[in-house]
Amino acid sequence: MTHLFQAFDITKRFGGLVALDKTSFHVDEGEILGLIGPNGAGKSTCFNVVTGTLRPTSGRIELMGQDITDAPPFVTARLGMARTFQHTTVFPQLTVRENIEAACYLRAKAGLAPALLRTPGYRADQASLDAAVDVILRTVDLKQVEGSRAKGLPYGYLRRLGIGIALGTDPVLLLMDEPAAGLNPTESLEYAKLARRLRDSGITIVIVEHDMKVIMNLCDRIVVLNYGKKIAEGRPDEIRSNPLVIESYLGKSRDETEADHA
Amino acid sequence: MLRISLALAALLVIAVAPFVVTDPYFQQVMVIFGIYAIFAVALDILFGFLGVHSFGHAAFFGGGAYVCGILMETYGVSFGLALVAATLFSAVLGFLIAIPALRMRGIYFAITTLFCAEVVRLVVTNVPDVTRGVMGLTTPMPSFPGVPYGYETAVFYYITFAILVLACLLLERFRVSPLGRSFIAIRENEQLAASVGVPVFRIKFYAFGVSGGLAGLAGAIYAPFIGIISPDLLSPTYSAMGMLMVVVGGFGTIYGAIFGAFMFSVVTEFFRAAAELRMIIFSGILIVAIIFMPRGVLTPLVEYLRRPSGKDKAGLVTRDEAA
Amino acid sequence: MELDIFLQQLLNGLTIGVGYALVAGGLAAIFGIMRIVNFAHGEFFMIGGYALYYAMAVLGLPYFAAGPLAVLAVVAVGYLVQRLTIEPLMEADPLNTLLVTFALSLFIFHSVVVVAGSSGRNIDTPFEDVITLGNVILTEQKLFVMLGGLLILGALAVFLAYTPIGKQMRATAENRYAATILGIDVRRVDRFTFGLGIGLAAVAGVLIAPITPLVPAVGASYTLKAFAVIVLGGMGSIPGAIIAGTGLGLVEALTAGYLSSAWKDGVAFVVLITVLLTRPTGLLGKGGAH
Ligand SMILES: Nc1ncnc2c1ncn2[C@@H]1O[C@H](COP(=O)(O)OP(=O)(O)O)[C@@H](O)[C@H]1O
Ligand SMILES: [Mg+2]
Repeated sequence: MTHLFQAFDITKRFGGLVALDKTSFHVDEGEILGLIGPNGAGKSTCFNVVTGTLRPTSGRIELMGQDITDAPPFVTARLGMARTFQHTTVFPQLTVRENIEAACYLRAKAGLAPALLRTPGYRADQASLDAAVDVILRTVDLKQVEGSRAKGLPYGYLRRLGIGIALGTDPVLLLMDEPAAGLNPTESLEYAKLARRLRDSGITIVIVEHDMKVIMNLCDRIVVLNYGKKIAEGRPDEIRSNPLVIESYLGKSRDETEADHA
Repeated sequence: MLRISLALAALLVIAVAPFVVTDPYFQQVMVIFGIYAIFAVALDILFGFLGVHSFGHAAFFGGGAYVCGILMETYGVSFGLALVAATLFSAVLGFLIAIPALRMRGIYFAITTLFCAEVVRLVVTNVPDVTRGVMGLTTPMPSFPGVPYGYETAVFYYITFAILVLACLLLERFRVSPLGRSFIAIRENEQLAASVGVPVFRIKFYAFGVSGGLAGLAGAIYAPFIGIISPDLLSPTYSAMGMLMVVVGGFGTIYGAIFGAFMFSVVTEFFRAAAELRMIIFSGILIVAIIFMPRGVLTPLVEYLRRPSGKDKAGLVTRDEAA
Repeated sequence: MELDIFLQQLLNGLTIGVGYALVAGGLAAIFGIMRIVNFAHGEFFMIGGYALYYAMAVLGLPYFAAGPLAVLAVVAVGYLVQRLTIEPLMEADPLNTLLVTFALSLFIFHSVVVVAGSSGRNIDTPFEDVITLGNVILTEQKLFVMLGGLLILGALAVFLAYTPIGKQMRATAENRYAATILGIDVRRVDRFTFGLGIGLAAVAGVLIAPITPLVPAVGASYTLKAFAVIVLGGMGSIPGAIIAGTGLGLVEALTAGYLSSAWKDGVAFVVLITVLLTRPTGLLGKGGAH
């Protein structure tokens, strides 16, 4: 069976630092894959490399059987791969609605001339875009603030807007880099729900997350990185009992997260 | 409604202005205003929409002026054809400059565009056989069939403002179109724009051509209207002039650029007794504006008019407003 | 003699090159330490020349008294400019400082045009003798430019290496944030740096003005060349700027001598664009921040 996404031996060097070291993994259609590992393990670098933001030093990346190793971000987005960023990224001077509209670039079918001439075809396209934007706004629960400028919104809203922007591309595969970072426990749970809803609507998800409770409950499968190397891969229960994972990461981290929640 | 009424009022004012302002000198000032406004709007496509800060737009304005002037004076080409040729020339020049410049970031980009314009000026200065060099090139007043003597200024006026109005209409439609939104997205956050599928480089490249072409068109009207052009037209002073108009008015609003051109051409007319004082005053205004009103004079107003019609159900007070 | 002509051009180039080195050295200091791109830099060179002219023609001072006075006057102007227009923008979008210095360059240029007119001024040189070495001619004035320039550059090197403020400047250039943590008053460093950078441009103006026709437009021309020089020398590197500045003077002189003097100004542009395209961080040095 072929996988939706596959990375073969990807390596990324920054000067002397090997941020990703011959890492291979795959993503199957319809699953939620967790990507975990201590800080600096190379998770964000992995996202940057697979989406084309950074070129891998070596290795090969495939999406739906197509080689995308050297594809720049706007091409990987076109092919169905969307991502959110670890640090909040939105279009600050635009309103929430305009943020999503800007992100719907790939959905617009009418070309430049129809837009300038306001042809009926263009108007119809606009109407369907408007509807799509509405759906996204409701999905990420931002409809009520659609007219507010993004700059100055509360942090939790901005994180959701980041996801809404990624959804604008109508993705097949969505990569989320620490979507719950900096959120309170209630908001984190909202997140998990949102991720499940997105998966149920047909989007395959890869998620980087530190909260082990969330990860273990949410993910179908987990890949563990440490120092740029994949050290484990499997179902949550397998990961939980993997000695290598416990030693390098889980043991310590679980104590911390549980302390946080206490 | 407010916006539509404002637009209609503006159109009406533009249409009747030459009948109200009959003094030939002031009619000329109005034409210059229109030409500068086209130039400023062209620059705003890059500055305001894309966040691409070209420091060498004099190359396109002056380049268009020279192509139009040379074609009309030396080759006897008609005004209309010369306008088209000048526009195309400047658009191609835009693509050519974009190739090296778009590989640079930040100040390197600014310096590269500035220097590319200097190269154009150097070439124009040093091929006197074609351009008359520093002596300046005289350009003939075009013949407008059926227009009685003395009404040429009015014709220039309507040509200029027809182009300006059309450019504004198209740009406003463009601004709210998906492609227009993606321009703004690039300005706001280039990396994020790329991540949602916006081909950043390609869009900047095309925008350079369009902006250059429009600036060239402005220059092409300018040359025969003024009657003589010199390589000064290609100097950083003119690049700065364009930026100053856009900055004083406000980035990315189109109307801001026009307002800036108005300030530059009409308001500073009051100081015409000493033409040189005008640049001192204008650059002084600019310095003050950048320090105290970095978003321009008009931008806040335009944003107020364009604000989404108060449907903010949550009544969320954003940090901006609270502050 | 072929060799004589070559040597003559070399000497001419060296003279102008020292001027470029001074102007670009100041520009590099301002960029390296303040992260400011000063589009008005050459204008301070130009007003240095005009201040010299007025001190001599109006106040009737001899060159050696008028020169230091002119430099002081320009530094005072530069200090005011920095406090009033640059300092308020240090935390703002870098585009704003770029625009403000661009506007400043116009302001200064047009002010000088209004005050002094756009025609050229000649400054009487205090040196009259000519030194001949075989067929190569060297005026005393040019010799003075070279020696004076080298002296100033040497003093600058000593200053940066040994004085407390010089050390603070280097620390700030290295890492502005760390400098703040170390208790360095970066605002004071900035003011000082701007004054110093402007001072170097003014010194160049005072040295070069007697050997070139002084017109308001030389300011813009020096700004552009100084930019070419600091890109070539690695943005923000003072030694790089000095080497590249001298080099540009030499290459321009040889171009003028062997190709055409009309196109010599193109050398800087060609060099600059080539360097930017091939090695965007400059030929020498590792370059500053993007
Ligand atoms: N652009 C970069 N340049 C140099 N080093 C980088 C860059 N991006 C990441 N790194 C380094 O690569 C390693 C992995 O970082 P990252 O992928 O951000 O880890 P994670 O997301 O797992 O916390 C870290 O040591 C980090 O410092
Ligand atoms: Mg990370």
